[in-house]
Amino acid sequence: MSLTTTDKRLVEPVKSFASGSDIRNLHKLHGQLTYIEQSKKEHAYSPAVVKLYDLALSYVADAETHARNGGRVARVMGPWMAPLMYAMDIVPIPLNELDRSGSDDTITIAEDHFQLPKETCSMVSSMLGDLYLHRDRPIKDLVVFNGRCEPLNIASDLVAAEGYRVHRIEAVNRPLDNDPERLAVTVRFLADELADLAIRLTGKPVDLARVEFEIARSNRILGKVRRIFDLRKSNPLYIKTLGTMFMVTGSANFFGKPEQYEATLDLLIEELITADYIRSARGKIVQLAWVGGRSPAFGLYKTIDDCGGAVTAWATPNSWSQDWPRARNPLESIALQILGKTGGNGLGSPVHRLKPIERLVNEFGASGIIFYSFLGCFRGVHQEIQRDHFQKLAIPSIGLEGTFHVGPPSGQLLTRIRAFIEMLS
Amino acid sequence: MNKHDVLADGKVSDLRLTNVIGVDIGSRQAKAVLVYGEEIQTAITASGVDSQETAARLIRKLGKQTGIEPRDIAYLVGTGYGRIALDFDAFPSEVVTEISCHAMGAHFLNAGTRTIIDIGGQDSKAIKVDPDNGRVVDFVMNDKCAAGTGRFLEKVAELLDYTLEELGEKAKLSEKKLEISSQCVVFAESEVISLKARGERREDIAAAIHFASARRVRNLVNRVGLEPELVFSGGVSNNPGMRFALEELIGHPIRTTKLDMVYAGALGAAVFAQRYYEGIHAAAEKGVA
Ligand code: SF4
Repeated sequence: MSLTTTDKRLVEPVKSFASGSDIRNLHKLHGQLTYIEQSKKEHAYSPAVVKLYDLALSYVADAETHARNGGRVARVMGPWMAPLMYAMDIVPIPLNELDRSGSDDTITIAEDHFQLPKETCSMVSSMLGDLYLHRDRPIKDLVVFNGRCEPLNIASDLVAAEGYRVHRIEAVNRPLDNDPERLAVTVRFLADELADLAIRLTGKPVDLARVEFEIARSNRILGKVRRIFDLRKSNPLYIKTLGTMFMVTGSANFFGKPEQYEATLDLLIEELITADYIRSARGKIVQLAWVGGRSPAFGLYKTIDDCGGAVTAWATPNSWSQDWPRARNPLESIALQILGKTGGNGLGSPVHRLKPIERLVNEFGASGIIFYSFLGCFRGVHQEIQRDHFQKLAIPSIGLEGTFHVGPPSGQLLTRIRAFIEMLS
Repeated sequence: MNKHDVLADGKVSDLRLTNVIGVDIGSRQAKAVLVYGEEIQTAITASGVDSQETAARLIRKLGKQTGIEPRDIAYLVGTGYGRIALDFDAFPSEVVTEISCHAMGAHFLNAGTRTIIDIGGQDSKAIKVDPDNGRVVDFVMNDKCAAGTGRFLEKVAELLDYTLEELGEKAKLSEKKLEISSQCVVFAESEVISLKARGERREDIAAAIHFASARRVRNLVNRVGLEPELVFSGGVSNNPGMRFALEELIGHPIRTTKLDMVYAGALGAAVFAQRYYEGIHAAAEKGVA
C-alpha cells in the first residue's frame, strides 16, 4: 500500500493550471509588463480597463516621440504639476515613472557611477540610474520641488551633469498650526515660484486663463475618479487592484493624454453602472486601504486579488478624493494644492494626514490598512506614527517596506500581505 | 502518536477528519503532519531545491508509516517558505501562510496560546493569537537581518566548530557572560572570531550569540505586546540555548507542548486542510460549485 517513488502525480505540476489567477502561479510571472499583460487578459470584459493599461504603457514612449517631433515634455516631481504644464503645452511625466522593463543596471549605476552609498533609498538610486540610462533620449527638462525630499534634490543635482536641465521650485511647507496669515504668505511665495518656473521653461509668463481651464479639467477628472470609486464599492473586483492603482496614478498627469484619459474614465463609469457583479473566487472580499507609496512590484497587487482582497481606498500622494482648492489666482490654487488642506500631499507632518486616511477608510469600508513605504525612505517613520494611530482605533494595519527597483516582490512581502488578508477574512 | 496524547484538551474533537495533511516547507527543513484516524503522524526531511519534490518525499514517508496512498488523501494544505510552488493532481490542495498555520498549530497544541515566537531558518516572527479560535490577531516579522534566525545560528555553529544541535546545548554550559554588541550578522561574525582569538570559551561565545539573537526577537515580541501564554515554534524552537535566552530576556516562561513545536506549522496546515475539505463538501451539498 505504500507509495512508489515513481508516482509522478505527486511531483508533477497540475497541467490544467493556466488561468494565472491563483497565488501559486505567481512565481511564473516576471516584471511589470507581464503583470500588465496578464491583468489585461483578466479584464478582457472591460474595454475601459484595457484602454487604461494601453494609455499607461504608451505614456513615456509617446511623450518621447512628441519631444522628438519638437513638442515639449518635462519630468516633474509630485502629482501637482499637470494644470501648469498642460497650460504651457508641456506634457508632464512624473520623475518616478521609470522604465517598466526595470533594468538591473539602475542600482549599480547609482552606486558605481554616482557613488551613492548602498543605504540610499531605492527610489533615488533607481531614478538616478534610469535617468542616466536614458540620458541620450529627448526629454531633458526636470522640474524639481525642493521641499519634497532631500535625497531627491541631491539626485537631481547629480543628473544635471548628465545633460539634464533642472528647474527648481524652492521649498516651502504648510505651517503646522495652519495659521491663516502664515499660510497666505506661504501660498504667495509658492505661486511666485510657479510663475518664475513658467518663465524659465517657456521664456514667457503662463496664460492664467489656461491654467484656470486646466484646473477645471483636473477637477472634472477627479470627480469622475471619485464616481468610479463610489461605483466600485458595490462591485470591488470589476477593476482589480493593479487596474485601480493605474487609474489613481493617471489622475495626476493623465498619462500625457488628458482627453483620452477622461474618455476612458467615462467609459469605465458606463461599464460599472451596468456590469454584472464579479464574485471573488475566495468567497468573501476583504476590503483594504493602501496608504503610502505605490509598489513597483506588481506581484503584490496580484497577491491581494488572489487572496480575496480588494483595495477599495488609496491614500497615495495624488489626492483624488478632493477637488483642487479655489483661490483668486490659479497659481495660488496650485500652491494650495501642493500644500494641501490637510498638510500637503506628502509634505509636512504625517499627523496632518491621519484624518483624511480615516475618512477614506470609513467611506470605502476598508477593514484593514496596508501602509507601504520604500526601503531607506524617511517616510517609513511616518508610517509608524500613522499605524499607532489606527491601532488605537482598533483598525488593523500592516507596514510593508519594499524597494523601488522594478522586480519581483520578495517572498516575505507576499507572506505578510497574504497573512494579513487571512487574518481579516 | 495518538491525538489524545498530543493535542490540547478539548481540541481532539476539533480535529476529527482523517487523511488530511499539512506540509510546511521551511528554508532548511520540511515537515509534514498527517491526521490518520486517531493518530497523528509526523515526517521531517531537509528542504530540497524543488518544493514539489520535497513535499512528495514527505508524503512518501508518511505513506510508508501508515500505508496511505495519494488517492486516500482527503486534502493537503501547504505552508512555509516553499508553499507557493505546491500543487497536486491526486488530491485537492491549498496554500496558507505559515503565520496563520503556526497560530493554528500552536492553538491546537496549547489552547491558551496568545503569543508565539516563531524562529525559522530565514526569518523570525512574533504572532498574537486569539485563544478562542487560534486565529491571528497581529503579527510582526523580521526578515531584514539574519540575526535572530536559524541561518545566523548555523553560521555561528560553523565558526565555533559545533553542529547546529550542539550549539544550543553548549550555550547552556556557559559560565561567563560575554557581550556581542553587534546586531548585524556580518559584524557579529567578526566579533565571534575576535572572541575566539582572545581565548574565550566556545560555550560562553555560544551563549552570547543566543542572547544577541534573542534581543532582536524580544523587540518583535514587544511590538505585538506579550500576553501569556507564550509558546515558541519553528525550526529553532528545540534549541535549548535560544529558549533559555528568550525566557531570560523576556522574563516570561515558554510553555512546553507534547508535540515538538517544529511541527506546529504543519499541524496548523492540517487543521486548515480539514476546514477546506469541509468547506468543499458543505458547498457541494448546497449545490454551490
Ligand atoms: S522614497 Fe522617500 S527618501 Fe526616497 S526619494 Fe522617495 S520620498 Fe525621498
